[in-house]
Amino acid sequence: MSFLSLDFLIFIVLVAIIYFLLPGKYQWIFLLISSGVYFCACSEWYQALNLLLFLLFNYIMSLQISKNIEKKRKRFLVCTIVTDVIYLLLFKYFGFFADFILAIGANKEAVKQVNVTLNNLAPMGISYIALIVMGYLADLYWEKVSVQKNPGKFLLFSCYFPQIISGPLVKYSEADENYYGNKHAFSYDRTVRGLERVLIGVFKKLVISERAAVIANTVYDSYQVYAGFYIPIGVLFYIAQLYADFSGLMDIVLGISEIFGITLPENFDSPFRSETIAEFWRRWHITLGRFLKEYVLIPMQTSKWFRKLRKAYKNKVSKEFEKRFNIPRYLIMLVSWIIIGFWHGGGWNFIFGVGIYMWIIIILGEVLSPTMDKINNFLHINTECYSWHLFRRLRTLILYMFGVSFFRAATLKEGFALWKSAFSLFNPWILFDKSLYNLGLDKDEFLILILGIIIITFISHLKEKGDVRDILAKQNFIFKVAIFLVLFLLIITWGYYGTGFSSSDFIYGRF
Amino acid sequence: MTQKKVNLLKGIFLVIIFTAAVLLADRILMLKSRDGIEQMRSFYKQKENTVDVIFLGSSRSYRQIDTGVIWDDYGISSFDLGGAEAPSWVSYYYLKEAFKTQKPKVVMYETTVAGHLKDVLYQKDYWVITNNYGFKLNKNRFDQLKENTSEENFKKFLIPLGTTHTNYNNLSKEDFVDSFNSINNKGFVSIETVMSFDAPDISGVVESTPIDEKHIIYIDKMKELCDENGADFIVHVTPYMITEDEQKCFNYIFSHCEEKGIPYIDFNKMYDELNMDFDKDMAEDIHVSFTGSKKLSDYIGQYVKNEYNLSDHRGDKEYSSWDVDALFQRQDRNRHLVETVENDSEFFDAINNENYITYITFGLFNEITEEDKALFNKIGIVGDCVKNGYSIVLNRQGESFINDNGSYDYFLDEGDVKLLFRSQNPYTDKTLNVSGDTHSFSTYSKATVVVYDRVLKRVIAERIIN
Repeated sequence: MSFLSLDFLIFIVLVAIIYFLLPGKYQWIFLLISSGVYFCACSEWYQALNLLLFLLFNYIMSLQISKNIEKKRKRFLVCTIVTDVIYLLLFKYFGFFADFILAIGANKEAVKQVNVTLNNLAPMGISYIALIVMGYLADLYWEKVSVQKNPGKFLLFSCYFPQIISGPLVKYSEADENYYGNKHAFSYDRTVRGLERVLIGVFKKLVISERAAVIANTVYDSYQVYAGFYIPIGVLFYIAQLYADFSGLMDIVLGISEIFGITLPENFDSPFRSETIAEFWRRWHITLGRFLKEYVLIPMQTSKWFRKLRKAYKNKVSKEFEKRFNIPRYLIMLVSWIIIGFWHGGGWNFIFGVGIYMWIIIILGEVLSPTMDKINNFLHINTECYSWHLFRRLRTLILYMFGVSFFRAATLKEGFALWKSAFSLFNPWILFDKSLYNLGLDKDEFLILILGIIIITFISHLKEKGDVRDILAKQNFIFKVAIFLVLFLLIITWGYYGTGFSSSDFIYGRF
Repeated sequence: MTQKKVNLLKGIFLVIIFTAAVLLADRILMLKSRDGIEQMRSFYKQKENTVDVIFLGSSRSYRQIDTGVIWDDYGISSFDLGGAEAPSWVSYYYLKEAFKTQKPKVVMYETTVAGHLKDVLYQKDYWVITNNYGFKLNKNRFDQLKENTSEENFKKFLIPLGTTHTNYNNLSKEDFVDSFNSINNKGFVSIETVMSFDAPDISGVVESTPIDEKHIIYIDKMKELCDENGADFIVHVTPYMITEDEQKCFNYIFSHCEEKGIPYIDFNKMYDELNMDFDKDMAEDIHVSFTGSKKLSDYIGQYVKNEYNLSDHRGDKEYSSWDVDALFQRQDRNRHLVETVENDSEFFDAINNENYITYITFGLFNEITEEDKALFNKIGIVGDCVKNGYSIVLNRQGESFINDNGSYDYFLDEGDVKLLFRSQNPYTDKTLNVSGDTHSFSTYSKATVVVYDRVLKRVIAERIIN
């Protein structure tokens, strides 16, 4: 049941009506039932059973972690995390290891069969659910939160249906009172605000993302033919597709939750305003970055072995060198980035494109920063003016563009072949002679896409001054209605939905 | 007023305005197809219990049986309630819907599709849509869609906007005006082409080939429905370039009709009775042309008049919309004639029509002979005005206009069409601007004639006389 289907529309309207009619103490139970219904409607029974067993195991272990003495608690935590990671690797990333297994002489057909079986058994949204649960267990161990003894509430926190397929990655401390706290009475203002956000999300997905996908798919599917300047154009539109798709989905998820009175953490903060790659990742998929920082990076940095390593490194190099080249920190950052890359798809293209490559750029940024400052001073470059910030944003976009191009490629090899094709031909005229209209969108469709991108860029720009809905809330009612009515009509007419379109699933919904 | 009440009012306003937006978008973006949609929508506009004969079936009903001819000749109020390639199950739901507001005395079902597509259980997607979206949102609409397409497609086609929203880049005046969605539209749509064939001969075909039962089941259901509503039900097959295999299917249907006591007409065995001339009466292999349609409609009108004793409603104000339809069809037939006649004499005979406004300019250099003057006499232009350099507007329902080679602006306001006949430089520049569409007049020919039809609301001919 896609978020953009008629079935889901009917489902969500019914859920909302019943939810607001129920007494406060039953609302969370109803959300749990709705989440179950949603999950079952989207999955096979064995996938639901698989997830239930996974969560049951984690629930039991969470009780153990909370009630035992320190040494045992650690053992339970480690045991659970290791089991969860193995579970995740098996069901989501077995394909990645298949090559290694084959290399040691395993039967090809058998490995293929196992891979297919595991894929079929994998519960929907397990990559998100597993991280949410592991984060909770860690917080429990660190005693940042108290244990949730009610299995129903534990289930709801893990599988709240709007966030089930693509996050955001919620921490238990954010969810506790949010999901099962006081009665979330119906609120006109909240409902309208939620609907406004859903509308913006649907616009991003149906009008922009699906259109941009036509160009990106054309270039990626035949990159050998669409060489030269077509490649960066294709990748740029892929970025538009990816951003509109993922942030649109988040708008829908957060908008629906807002209607229910549930506040979920934001996942985007105008990422294309970032001036460095590091900043970009603080603004893009924020909750994933936060998860890795709090549950991977900081625990590693504070671990005994890291402190030992750092001490040993300090003894080996001069203080100045250590300050400029903090290699132990770079190493644990590398681990984090490899995890990020691997989580995105379990392929070398992901590990390189959104992992190692991003790490290299960030490290280079840090290492070269003093040199760049010196050059700027020497050339008397004004680093306070708008043009300097604009230059840095464009630079970040171009750097990101290269990395993310591997995200869309089928393999690492294809990613490099793509860029080889880009440099095999010098054809700048395609930007002027209407050749771009041969990429699947005619002139009108192309203009709609560009207009759509301008609209969301404008909304993103406004976000610096506050939520666009807050800005509109200060305007007269009729003006506000007119704005959203136009947006609604644009979706109805320009949206890629219905007969003749196969609106693909959300890209981040596949994890 | 309390905040709660203000919010309630705001909420109601939002629901109304967004619903209205959806309905408006649906209306504008909806296909203005005359292959099912406009037929059904116009049918809803008919006054209750005024339609005496309903023609059901595929394009071989609504593109062949001219309701205007039947009205002109016999005063019978008939309606072409057909849909593109509509098989019996599609027609059945049309009929069910029709009985809600009308009490027809005769229902004629054209069954060619059953022989032509004998094993087809679901229609092509586009036809599914055109045969369904004319319905109001009701059970018949959903039932017809369910019966006519797969379960997967049923969901896909359920909401029209899902299919029609892509029309945004093809919108035209018709999408906003929707001129055929009217009480005056009786469903008939003419075909322009004319093709020549050798008459098929299936007189010796007596064998039968069974067709899918679904076709038969719904023919029986239509018969039952007619019986329940006191209407006579007739099955027929209109003339076309039939094959022996198809005739065998029709033999199967007709023998079933005999069993069930359903009257049937096999027009493919009645070419002589119809006076069919296969040199000019066929538009293409499966449809009759303008002339073929006239013959077929004449015959059907006479048949239902004689067999079912139907009343002549001509002159009855309740039925005045059939006058409008008949006039439209007459004008359309004449337009076709005007467009296809070859010699000038026949052309002037054809444009001698009281609903035409004729714009004429005489060239500056070619001598106008007595023979030429005789042509203009045919439409009533006589005397000294047939002269080099003159401009004439022959308006039979208003004041005519004559100009002797000067500058002029002659404006006619025909409601939603504006006509400006202009000469700024009489030697080079004479034009007729019809709501933005410009027609030029030649100064080097003997004369240029542009004909505007007030009924069809468009220019139907632009002819240079040399």
